[in-house]
Amino acid sequence: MKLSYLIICLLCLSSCAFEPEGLSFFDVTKPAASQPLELTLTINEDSIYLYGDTRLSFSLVTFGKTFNVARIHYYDQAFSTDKPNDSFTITPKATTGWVDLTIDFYVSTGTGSIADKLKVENYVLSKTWKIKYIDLNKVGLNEGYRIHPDGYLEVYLVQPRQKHDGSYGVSKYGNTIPVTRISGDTAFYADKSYCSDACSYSFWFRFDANNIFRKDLIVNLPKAELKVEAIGLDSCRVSWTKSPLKLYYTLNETLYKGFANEYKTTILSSESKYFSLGVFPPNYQNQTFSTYKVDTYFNLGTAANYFMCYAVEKDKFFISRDLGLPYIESANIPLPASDPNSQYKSKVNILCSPNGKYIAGYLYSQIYVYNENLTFSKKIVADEISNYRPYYSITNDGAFTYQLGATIVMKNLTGIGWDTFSFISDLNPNPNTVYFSVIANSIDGKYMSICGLSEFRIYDVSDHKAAKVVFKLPAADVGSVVAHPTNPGLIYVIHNGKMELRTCPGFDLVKAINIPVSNYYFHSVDPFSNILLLMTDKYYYFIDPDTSKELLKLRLNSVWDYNVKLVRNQFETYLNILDLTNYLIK
Amino acid sequence: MRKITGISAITMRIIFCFLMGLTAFPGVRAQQNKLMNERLQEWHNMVLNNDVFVSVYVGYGSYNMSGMRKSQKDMVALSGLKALTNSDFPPYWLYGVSISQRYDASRFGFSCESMSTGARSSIGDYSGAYYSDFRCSGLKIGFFIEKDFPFKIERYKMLSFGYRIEVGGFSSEVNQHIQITINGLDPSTQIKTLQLSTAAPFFEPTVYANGHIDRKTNIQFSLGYMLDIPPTLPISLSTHTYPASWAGYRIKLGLVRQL
Repeated sequence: MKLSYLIICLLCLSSCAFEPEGLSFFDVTKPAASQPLELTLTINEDSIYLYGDTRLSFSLVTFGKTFNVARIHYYDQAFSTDKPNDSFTITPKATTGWVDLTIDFYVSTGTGSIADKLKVENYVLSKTWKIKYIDLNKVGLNEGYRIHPDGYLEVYLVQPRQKHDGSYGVSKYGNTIPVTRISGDTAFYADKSYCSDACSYSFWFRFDANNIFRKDLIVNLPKAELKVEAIGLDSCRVSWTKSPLKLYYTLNETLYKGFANEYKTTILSSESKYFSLGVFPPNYQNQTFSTYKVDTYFNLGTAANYFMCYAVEKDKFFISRDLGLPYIESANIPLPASDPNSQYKSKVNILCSPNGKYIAGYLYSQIYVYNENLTFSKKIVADEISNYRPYYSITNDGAFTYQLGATIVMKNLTGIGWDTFSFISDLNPNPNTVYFSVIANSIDGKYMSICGLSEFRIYDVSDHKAAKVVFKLPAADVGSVVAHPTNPGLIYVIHNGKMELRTCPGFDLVKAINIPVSNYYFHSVDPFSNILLLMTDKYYYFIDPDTSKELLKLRLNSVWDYNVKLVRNQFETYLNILDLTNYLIK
Repeated sequence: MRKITGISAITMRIIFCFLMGLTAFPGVRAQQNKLMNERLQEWHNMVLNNDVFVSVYVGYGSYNMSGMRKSQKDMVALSGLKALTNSDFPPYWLYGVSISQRYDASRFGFSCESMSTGARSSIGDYSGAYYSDFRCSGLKIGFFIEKDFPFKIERYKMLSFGYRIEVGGFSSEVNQHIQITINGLDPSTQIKTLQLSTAAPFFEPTVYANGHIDRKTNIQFSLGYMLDIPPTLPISLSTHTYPASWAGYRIKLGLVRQL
């Protein structure tokens, strides 16, 4: 019992151990509700583009307050700094979206309170930016080209957004192009030597030692296309597509020089004119030779290097476009163009009777006869006659007539009755003599008028056995004779220096035709319109026999180019056909 | 061992008491059982002969604790807060019991004494409060010998005077407790507690005066001074170790009962 009492006493005493107490309380002024803080970041944007490891610096002005700490968060990273002016490096992750970059700035309230001293009482400025990774291998590096107002090509490189501390440049096939100007975030490079076609420009952009990005730009402006249009019958307009660049052009070296896109020049009716456009770049003054040339040939009307004939009674054309074969085809107006791949005139000359029943082509010493349906009928051996010879014809009775020196030969195409007939005229037998409107068959084949060396004679050849002279005059009286193309009883003659329409074989004057041209030669008569084709050494004249009016005048391409044809207002030269319908208006 | 838990501290106290008991039985190893029985019989006889005294006392002691005091200052300085000292290891109450046996004119015995002191530095304002507390407790077990002086005051013959020499060991337990409370901060209270224990020897000379209340009961007033070899403790937040010295004056008042 005594022991228990003793233990209880001990327990009671031992519970009275020392216990500290008291608190030293200070009355501290509480902080203001807010405090101005001024934050500056390297990139003064709310959205920041990252192109690689990016170092950002910030500066916080606390206006006298003590900076405690800044906590930086982005991606899954978080760290702190105790410096109000500090920098850090963001290594971007290959994410495509926007990610938050947040910096929480803690600035001491300066009250001196416990919380302040322990840096847990702060003015807090929290700022969040959006950051986004840009892979310059895929996006973000933009380039392009434009045409400078002065007319030359400018390629440009738009620097990546907010990335203005990189180096960059451009080269053209390995040659560096110096930067011309910089406007904002765009660097321009002038290429004053560029004219057209595909050209590759290689851009590079480097924003640190380890990262260089390249992009290629293909500029492909089309070359100039040359176009020639006829202006009437004596001139043409040469134009070429306008380039967006201000290019310097030359036409036929010296014909034209300048910056325009067209040029008007003269052209003859039977002329194939060559145009060569030289294209110089904007800095042409430093360039001797053109960058490239485009050229073309041009002629008025329809290019036609084939032979053709016209049957007035059927109002039908027959043409032979085949180079070597006697292949004949029918044609109408407008007459077709030659095969553009065929640069040579067909070799088979063709002619037809005015009634269109007899069609033949001849090549060297062969006459190829065709039916009305243009099927080949037969081949007739003839003398070797040249296309150079001016006279050959087929009359409505199927007589193929040609001249061989002084001899007039007639071949029967009908196959009925006679085969061949010839007679000797008093024409100059020299084979090099060029006869010009001195032989004329009446279209019915009965009479033949010839201006010989001594006399003008009208022969009756209707029996195709013998040529009987039924009328004659001294040669000096008649200069030219052309049969009327539709009336077998009429001939056009230049009698005593005047154009007259006379009967055949009576040679009675039907009417005199006043020709308003002097020193001309009578070429032919259009069977369709009866318009007279005359020529001088410089011009073709188209005369209305009824009114004596000069309907048209065309300049010759060469002196005495008589190798032309006027049928149904279609004027054929050795290379083209001009449709004169709109010009030969009576 | 830097930190000793509370259970370990109790275990150490038991071991300490057991070892002190063994000191009373030198040569225990050879004839342990026989000797133990003999001694117990002697104790029984002593009690039957009224030669055993039991004392319960309360006292007031000053404690040097200079090391702990420096530790407290260092802690406050480390916090950066200009905390003020509320208490700085002040003298404080102590309690104890003893049991002794008369042997000739002297008494030999054992005593067990509990001491405690501590410190607080604190600061508070609208934003929160900071406390840095030390709670130090000591349990002292000693072997003493006391003997009355051979004189008495003629006028007060019920009074006797004497001296006591006590040696032994003591265990110290230091609880360091730091608490910061920030208003509005979650968690609102931040606590750091460190509990350290250690043991060391002491020597305490004392003079006393006994007043006889009755034939078997005395009231004893004593004045002494405790000397120790202070152990060092590794206080947290510092690489230093600090001595925990319980040295100081002791004033005690107790009841002594002769069994």
